[in-house]
Amino acid sequence: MSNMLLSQLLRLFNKTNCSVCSKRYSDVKVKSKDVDPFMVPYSNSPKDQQRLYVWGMAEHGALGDLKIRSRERNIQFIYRPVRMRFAYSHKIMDLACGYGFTVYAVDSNQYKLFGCGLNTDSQIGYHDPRKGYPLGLILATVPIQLPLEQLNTKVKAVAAGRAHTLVLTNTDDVYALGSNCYGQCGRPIIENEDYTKLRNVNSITLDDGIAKIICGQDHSLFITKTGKVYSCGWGADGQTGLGHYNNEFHPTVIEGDIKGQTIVKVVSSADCVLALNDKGEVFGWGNSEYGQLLLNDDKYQVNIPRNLPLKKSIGKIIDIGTTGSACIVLNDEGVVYVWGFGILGKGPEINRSREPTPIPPILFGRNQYNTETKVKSVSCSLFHMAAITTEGNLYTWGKNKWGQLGLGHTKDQYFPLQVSVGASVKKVSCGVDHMAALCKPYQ
Amino acid sequence: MNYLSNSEKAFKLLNGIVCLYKPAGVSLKGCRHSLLLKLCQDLNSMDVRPPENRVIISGDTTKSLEVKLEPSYADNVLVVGPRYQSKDLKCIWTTHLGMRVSGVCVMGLNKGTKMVRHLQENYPLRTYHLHGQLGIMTKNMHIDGQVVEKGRFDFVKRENIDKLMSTIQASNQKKMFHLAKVDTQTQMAYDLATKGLIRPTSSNEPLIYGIKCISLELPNFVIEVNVINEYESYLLSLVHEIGLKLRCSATCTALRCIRYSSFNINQALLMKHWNLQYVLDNIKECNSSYDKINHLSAFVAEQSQLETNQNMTSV
Amino acid sequence: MILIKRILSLRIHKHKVLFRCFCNSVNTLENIQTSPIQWPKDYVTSPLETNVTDFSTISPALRPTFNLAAYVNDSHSLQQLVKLGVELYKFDNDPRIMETILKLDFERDMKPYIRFIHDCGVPVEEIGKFLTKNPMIFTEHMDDLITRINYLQHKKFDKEMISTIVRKYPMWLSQSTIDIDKSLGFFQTKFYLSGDNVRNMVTKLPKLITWPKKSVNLIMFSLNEEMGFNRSERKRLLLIQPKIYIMSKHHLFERFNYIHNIMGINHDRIVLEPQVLTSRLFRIKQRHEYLKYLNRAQYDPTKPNYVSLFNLVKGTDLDFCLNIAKTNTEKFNNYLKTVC
Repeated sequence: MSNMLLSQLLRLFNKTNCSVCSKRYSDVKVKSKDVDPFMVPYSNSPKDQQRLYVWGMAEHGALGDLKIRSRERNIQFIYRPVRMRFAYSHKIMDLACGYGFTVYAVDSNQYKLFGCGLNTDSQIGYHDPRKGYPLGLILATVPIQLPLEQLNTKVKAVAAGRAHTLVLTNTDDVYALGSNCYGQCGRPIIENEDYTKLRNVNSITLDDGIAKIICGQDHSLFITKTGKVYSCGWGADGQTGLGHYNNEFHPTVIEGDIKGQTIVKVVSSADCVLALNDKGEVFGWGNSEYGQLLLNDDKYQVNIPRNLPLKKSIGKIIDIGTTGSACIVLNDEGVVYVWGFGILGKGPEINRSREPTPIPPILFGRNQYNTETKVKSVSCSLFHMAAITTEGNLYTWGKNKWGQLGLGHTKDQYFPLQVSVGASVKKVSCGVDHMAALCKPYQ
Repeated sequence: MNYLSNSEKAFKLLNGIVCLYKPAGVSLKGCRHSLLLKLCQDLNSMDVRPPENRVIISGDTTKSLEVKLEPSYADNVLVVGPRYQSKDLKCIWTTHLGMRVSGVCVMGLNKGTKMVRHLQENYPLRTYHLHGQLGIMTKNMHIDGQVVEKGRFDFVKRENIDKLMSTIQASNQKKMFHLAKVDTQTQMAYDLATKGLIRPTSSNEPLIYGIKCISLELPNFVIEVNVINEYESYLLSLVHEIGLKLRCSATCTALRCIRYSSFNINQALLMKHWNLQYVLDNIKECNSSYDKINHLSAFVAEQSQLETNQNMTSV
Repeated sequence: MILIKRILSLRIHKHKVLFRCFCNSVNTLENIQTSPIQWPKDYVTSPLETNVTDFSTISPALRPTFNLAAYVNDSHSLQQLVKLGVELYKFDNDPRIMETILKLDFERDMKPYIRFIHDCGVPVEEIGKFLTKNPMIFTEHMDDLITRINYLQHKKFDKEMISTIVRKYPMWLSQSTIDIDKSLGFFQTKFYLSGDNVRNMVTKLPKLITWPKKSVNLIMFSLNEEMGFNRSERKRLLLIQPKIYIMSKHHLFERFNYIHNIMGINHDRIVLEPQVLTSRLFRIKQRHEYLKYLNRAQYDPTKPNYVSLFNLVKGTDLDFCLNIAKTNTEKFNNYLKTVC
C-alpha cells in the first residue's frame, strides 16, 4: 500500500516538474533508467513448489480468496480445480475441509494456522474488524490466533468437523475451536453459549500423548501414541463408542473390540466411525442404518467398537473411509471395496450393497499399458469419495451438487473419473461441498 | 555372431512383430526399405540353398544314352540373383509416423502382418514426448521451418503450463464420452469404462487421454501425451496451440513416440541394430508381449464392445 | 517383344549347326506345301525297328525370355562367365548388354579381353567383379584398350597405379583417351596440381576424372562461396579427400554447417582432417551430442582430453565408446533413444 502511494506521489511530483522535489526524490529511483522497461526479467517461481488446488462451493468462502471477485460476479461454485497462490507464500503442512470452511496448518514462526469460510461458531477463530461484531463469513484466508506457549511450537495436523476445528501441535497439545454444543471441544457444555463470539480456545491433553486427531460431524476422536482411541462429543448414534448414547464432553478412552489393539487410523465424516489397526483389521461403531457396519441383526446403532469381518474376503487393509451412508476400504493390492448405500462408484444401477464389493481397478487407470497403477489412498466426505493413485492422479465420484468433484459439471458421477488437476496429487481433503488438494508438479 | 547358420531356418523365424526405433528425418518407407535390405543381405550371407540339379541326357541316340545329374546353371546365385530379395518379405507398419517423428515404430514381418492388423483394429494407445521451444514461431510449426515470429517467453511458468494441460485433458475427457456416443450418467458409460479406455468409434478423430508437462527449462519444454488416432501435423499443431494459449509462441523441436500399445522405447531397435540377429531376438520378445496383450480379456472384450457399438450406431 | 524376337533370332543364328540340321532335312517348307508328309525312310518301313538316326543334335528352339538364366544351361560362354564369377542377373535390366553378351563366343571373343584385363593387373578372383561392372568392354576395340593403357604409361603412371585404377574403376578402360586427357588437364589447371599430385589423386579416386565437370564445378563454387575455403584449402581437400568432389552438394553443405556452426570447428581443423566431411551426418551428430552430454566434446588440441575429428567419426560404435567416450555401449544406445 505504502509503495503504491509513494509511486503515485512520485508521478505527481514528476508532473509538476518541481526541481526541488525531483532533486529530493532523485535517489529514490523506482526503476533504473538503463533497463529497457519491456525487457525487465520476470520473477521465477520456485522449482520444488507446493501447490494448492481447491474446488467446489465458493459462496461461503471456503475456497479462500479467489481473486476473481466471486461475490460481485455472483459465482456460487467452481467445478474445476483452481490453483491458490496461498501455498506459495506459506508452506502447508496439513489441511482440513470442514462443513463450509477450510483450515491450513502452516510451517512458519509467525502464524501457524490459517482458515477461511464459514465462521458461525468461531471455528476459524474470532475476527472482528469492527469491535464486538465478529465475522460469520470470511472470504479470504486469514491467520488464526492460537494461545501457544512457545514460539517455535509447530502445528502438526488439523481436523475439521461440522462446526469445530481441532489443531494438533508438536508438543502433543490439541487445541479445539468452535462449537461445543455437544462437548466436541472437550470442555463442559454450557447451556445457551453464544459460539459466534467465542474467543477462548480449549486445550486438550491426554496422558499418552496425542498422535492423530479426527473430527466427525459433531464429535472428536483422538489416537494416542500408544494406539488407543479417545472420544468426546455427540453420541446419539453411538458414534463416541463409549457404550452409551449420551453426549460426552470429557475425552474418554474407547474400549470394546479395539481394547489392546494398536489403532493407526480412524475415519468419520458423519456418524459412522471406522478404525484401522496396524494388522490391517477394521473396527466400526456408530450409525449402521445403511448396513455400514455389516451387522446381521436389525440394529441401526452400535455404541461399542466391533470388529468387522473383512480380513477373509479383502485381505490386509491399508486405508479406510466413510461417507454418510457408505464405507470404503483399500487393501494392500490397491483394490478399493465399497458397501452401504448411495453412489458407490459402481454405476447408476448399483446403489446399495450389503457386502463389500470391489470397484474394478480399470476405473482407476489400471489397464494393459499401466499394470502398475494402484490406488494409494482413499478419502471421503458426506456425499462423495476420492481416491489417489500411485501416479498422483485423483479420481472422484459421488454427489456433485456444488461441483465438489471438480469434474467440470454439476451432474452426479456414478463411477470414478479422473480430475484434471494438472499436478501430482499428494494429499486431498474432502469437505461436504468443497475439496482441497495439496500437489507437487509432475517430474 | 550368428547362431543360425541355415538361412531357411532363419527365414522361417522371421514371422511376427518387430519394434524399431525410427530416426527422425527418414520416411517410414525408407525405414522399411533399409530393414528389408539388411535382412536380405544377412540371409544371403548365410548358407543358402545350393542350385537345383538338372538332368542332362546326352550322347548318340542310336547308342545307350548318358544320363548325368549336374547343378543347374540356371539356378545359380550369380545368374538368377540373390536367394532372398526384399520383395520376398512382407512388411507393414501399424501407424504412419511422419518424417519428423522419431521413436517406436511397430512393424509386422511376414505372418506378423496379421498380428499388426489385429493391433490396429484395437485402437492402441500411443505415448509421445513432444519437445518444444517457446518464443519462436515457424511457418510449418517445426523448428526447421521459416521463422515468422519471435517473442518473449520468460513469463511462462510451470503452473501456467500445468493449468493448460489440465484444461486440455478435461476437455478431451468430455470429448471421449462424446465420441464414444454415451452419456456419463448412464449405466452404459459405466459398462464401457469397466472394459478399459473409452475409445472412439471412428479412427479419424484424434483423442488425448492424458497430457502433462514433464519438464520446463525455458525456453524448452517437454510434454508427454497419451493419444489415439493422432497424426504428425496434429501433434505439431498441438504444440503450436499450447504456445498460443500460453500467450507466446511455440514451435516443435522433436516428436518422439515412446510407447505404442505395450511396446515401449526400451525394446525398440536402433537403426544400427537392424540386422538379422537383433531382429530375430526382437521378434521373439515382441511376439511374447503381443501374446500377453492378446490374451487379456479386455483386449477381446473391447473389440466386441466396439463392434456392438458400431452396429448400434449403424442401426 | 522386339527384344525377345531379336534374342531369339540371335540364338538361332548362333547355333548355326542346329539350324543347318533343320535345313538339310527333308522337311523343308516347300515340301510341306507340295507333297504329303514324308516320314524318314527307316521310320516308315518298320516302326518297331531300332532307331539308327542320331537325334542328339536336334533340340527344340529356344523360347523368348527376359533374362539370361533361360539360356545359361545351353550356352558354353555364359557358363564360363559364371565360373569367373560374373553376376549375370545384373545385366537383366539392360537389353543392350544382354544382346552383346549373347553374341559373344567365349574362346574367340572373350578370352583375349580377359587375358588383357588380367595383364593390366586385375587378379583372377576380381575379374568377375570387373566384368560385372563393365561388361561392355567386349565391344571396345583391342587397340583402343592398349592405347589407353599406353597413355597412362606415357603419363608416368607406374604399373601398380594402373592396376589400382583399373581395379577401382573398371569403367576407366571404356573412356576415350581424349576425354581423359581433357579431364586431367581440367583438374591440373583448376587446382594448380603438379604431375605427382595428379597421379596421386587419380589413383585415389579414378571415378572423379570421369565425373561430370558440371558437378565438380558446383562443389568448387560451394566450397568457395558458401563455405569459404580458399584456393589452397580446396586443393588440400582434393588431395586428401577427393571424395568430397563427387558428393551431393546438399549433403556436403549440411555436414559442413553442422561441423562448423554447431560443433564450432574452424576451417583449418576441417582441412587438416577432412575425413569428417565424408562421414554421414547422423553419425557425427550422435557422437558429438553424446560427447557433449558427457562433457567430453573438446576439439581443441591444445587442451587436455582432446578428441580429434578423425577419431570421432572413425570406427564402429564399440570403438568409439571404448576409446573416445570411455563409457559402455549400452549407455550410448540408451542415450541415442533419448535424442532423435
